[in-house]
Amino acid sequence: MTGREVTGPSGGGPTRASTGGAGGGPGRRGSLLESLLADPLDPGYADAARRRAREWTGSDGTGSTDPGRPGKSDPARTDRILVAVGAALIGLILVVAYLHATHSAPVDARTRADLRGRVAAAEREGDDLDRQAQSLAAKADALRGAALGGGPDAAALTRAEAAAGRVAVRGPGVRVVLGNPLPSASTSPTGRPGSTPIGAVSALTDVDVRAVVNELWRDGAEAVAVNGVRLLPTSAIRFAGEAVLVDFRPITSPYRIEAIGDSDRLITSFTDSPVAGRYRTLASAGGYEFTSGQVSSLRLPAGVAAPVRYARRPSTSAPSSSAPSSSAPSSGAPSSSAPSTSSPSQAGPS
Amino acid sequence: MIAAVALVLGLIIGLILRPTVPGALEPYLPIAVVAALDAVFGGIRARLDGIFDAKVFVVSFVSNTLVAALIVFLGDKLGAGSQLSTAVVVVLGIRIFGNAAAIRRHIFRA
Repeated sequence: MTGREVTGPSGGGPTRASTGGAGGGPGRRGSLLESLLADPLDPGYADAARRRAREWTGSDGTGSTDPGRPGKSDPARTDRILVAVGAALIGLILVVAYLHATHSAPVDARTRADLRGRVAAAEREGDDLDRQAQSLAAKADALRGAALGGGPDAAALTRAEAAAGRVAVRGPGVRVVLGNPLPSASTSPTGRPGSTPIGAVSALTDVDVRAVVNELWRDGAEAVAVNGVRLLPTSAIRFAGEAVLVDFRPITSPYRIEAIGDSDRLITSFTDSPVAGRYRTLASAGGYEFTSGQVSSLRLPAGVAAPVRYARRPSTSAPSSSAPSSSAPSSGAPSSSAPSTSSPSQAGPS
Repeated sequence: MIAAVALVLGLIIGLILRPTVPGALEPYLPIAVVAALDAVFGGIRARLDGIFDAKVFVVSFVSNTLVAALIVFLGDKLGAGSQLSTAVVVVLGIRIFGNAAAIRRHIFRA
């Protein structure tokens, strides 16, 4: 309710003329948007001006100007204070908002960039350490081979190392590829209208990768790698966020599981297994990718073994004496290779 | 004149004190900024029109801010917070533009 159409009984002077010009006419009041666009000024100003004008004319009419003077000076001061307080408040709000915006936004961006940089640096460092560990392990292997001088011990050691995943291996095997359905892959022929294909609601997780890997172990695989990450006896396949982690290295959807072993036996056992049957069904129904086949020559890289931790009995003997006794059966090899030579016996291909 | 001085004073006070906005009030900050700008432009335009009134200035600023905050609060409770704050920003933004245009006409006669 603007009351714009009210034309005062007496001439309001330039004040009224200007507000009347802004208003345009009484017919405008109907449309909310129109009045919003045509008259952005708070109607309170016009009302106040009109009121003031009426007071002036009223005081003029009575002819008593003196009471108006002192009465007007007090409001002038309060007006000034009001304006000052309001303006200060506005300035405070503006600067607070500015500080808040400049404070929070760059902090977020900086944190993200910082985290990304740290992740990249850590990955680089991890790769470097990986390479370093592998070259050192190769050097240690060469030294140990020279010391052993080739014999039954050396052959047993080679077999054990292959089982432990400490050396790169090559040989015939099978390759199983397990992939999420493509997001655009339409499975309309098999899906009824209104039904959701399985691939749209569930994706492959660590459970699926683990099931295939375990099946391959059971079928007699001697070495397994997932997406080029060699599985060690201590390896774990886990799930974090959207990614499957193999030994804390994230891998993504087409999961390529390669196993070296007796490839004929591997492929027949695997194809007959319920695990393969399950994924065949999923592949035909949900658009998952699932293929398995023999490969004449596979090369699986060496894995970097995490140090094996030994359980200790703290009460019966001092920890300093128990540690050497547990690594004693490592046949006099350098201490760095002690965990890996003892691990295959505990966790050979299951 | 006093208003300008007070505005600068408020800015300086804010810069010196650097008050932190509590998390609960964070969604209302943009609304308060837009309401403040609306009050500033409305006040300037009223001044140029010769109808400035201190009471209207302060009361309209405070009440606009409160009503806008209330709308946003209600919207948050109803699950339409962003839409309603958009509505507030649109309405106040149109007023800011209109007043800025009026000020421009006053100053540049164009």
